[in-house]
Amino acid sequence: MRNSAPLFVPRLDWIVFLVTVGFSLTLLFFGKGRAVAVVKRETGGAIAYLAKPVGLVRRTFNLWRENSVLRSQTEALSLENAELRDAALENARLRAMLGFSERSSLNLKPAEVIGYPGLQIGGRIVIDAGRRAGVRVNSAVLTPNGLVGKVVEVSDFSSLVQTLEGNAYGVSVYIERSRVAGILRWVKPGTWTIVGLSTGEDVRTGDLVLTTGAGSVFPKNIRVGVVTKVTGQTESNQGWCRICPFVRFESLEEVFAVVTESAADPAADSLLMNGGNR
Amino acid sequence: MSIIGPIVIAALLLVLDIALGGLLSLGPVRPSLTLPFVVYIGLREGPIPGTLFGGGIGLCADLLGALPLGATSFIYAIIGFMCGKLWHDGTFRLFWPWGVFLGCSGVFSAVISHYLVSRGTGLAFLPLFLSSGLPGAIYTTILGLLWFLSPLHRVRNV
Repeated sequence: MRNSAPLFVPRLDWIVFLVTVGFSLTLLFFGKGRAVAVVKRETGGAIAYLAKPVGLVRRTFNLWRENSVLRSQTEALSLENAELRDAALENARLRAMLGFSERSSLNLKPAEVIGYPGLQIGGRIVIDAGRRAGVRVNSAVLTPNGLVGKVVEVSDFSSLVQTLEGNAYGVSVYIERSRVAGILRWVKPGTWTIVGLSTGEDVRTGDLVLTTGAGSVFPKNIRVGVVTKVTGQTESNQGWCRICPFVRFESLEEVFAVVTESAADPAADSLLMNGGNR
Repeated sequence: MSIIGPIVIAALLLVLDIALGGLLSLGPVRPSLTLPFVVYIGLREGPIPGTLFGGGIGLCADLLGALPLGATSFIYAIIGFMCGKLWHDGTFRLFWPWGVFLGCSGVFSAVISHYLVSRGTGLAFLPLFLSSGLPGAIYTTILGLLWFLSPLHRVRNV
């Protein structure tokens, strides 16, 4: 009797492997539906909330350095504050004389950074303010130093923020001194540029870069960074000037999420998500 | 081996990776705390636990927004399976297999994840990989090799 082996012997390890990889690929290519987004949002929010106490360790590491920096800043700020108080009063008088309306103040929600998921170059952080705090998708996130990024996903108690790192979106900015406008882009780790500037525009090293407010995501006149280098030569999609943001994205601890009236609409998230899937 | 212990360790590493990963980063270079554990499970327990743990840990990382949903799960499942297939006789306690497997896994993970990031951002893959991915894999491997300095490792070998 001939002892024949079957052509295909099912192996449990290969079956488990193929099922797991198949499931992952299915999520990767087709996992963009509303149900998957809800599961991701809620589960991710719960895990991020669990990670919050661990952030205390990180905060402790930075406590001494932060204390010395704050002490030196306090003295400088108290002097600056006195000058600004005079300037604000003068500004109010002049605006009243010109008939300008009061500038609307931003509605800011303070939040702590509780996580840095994924790759460092991915530029994503998790903050502990979510839908319950009034944060919505596309809410701008900033610090007293400058612009951080915007919210891309929101759960009840946490939000995923895409910082200016990673080329996920552009920010409409202008040079404060010359009022020249363009789009801020991340070029590579540690390097930003402004695209859309014609060669020869009035841009100099040391110029302050602010948001224009175009697009209704980022409020106007938020500090972004400073021009550190003007090459004068246009490289493909890399602009001809280099920008250094004021915010150190790798050591963020506290941020503010901008909450606007329109963002308080509870249906805003679902509308944005539906729109994004079309 | 009880399944509870590895699950607790995996959850702990995941939380530490998310909460403290930024503290360990050197510029754009960041080590992974979860990858060595996936390699460890694969080498120690074989392909099925390696695949399941890798897929599970990767899925949790994706739920936190690390990469597009399914990406890390896909990468870690392959790593767990390959480690289980290639080395399943408990000799992971030797210095060189652990280092080699961890290094190769780190490079594989960096290639796939940085390819996805480069596609998403529209940037060239190679400079991104060389400036962030490869150093990150080396950093992860060095951190993983610290295991051989731990007292726990010495006691087990005795």
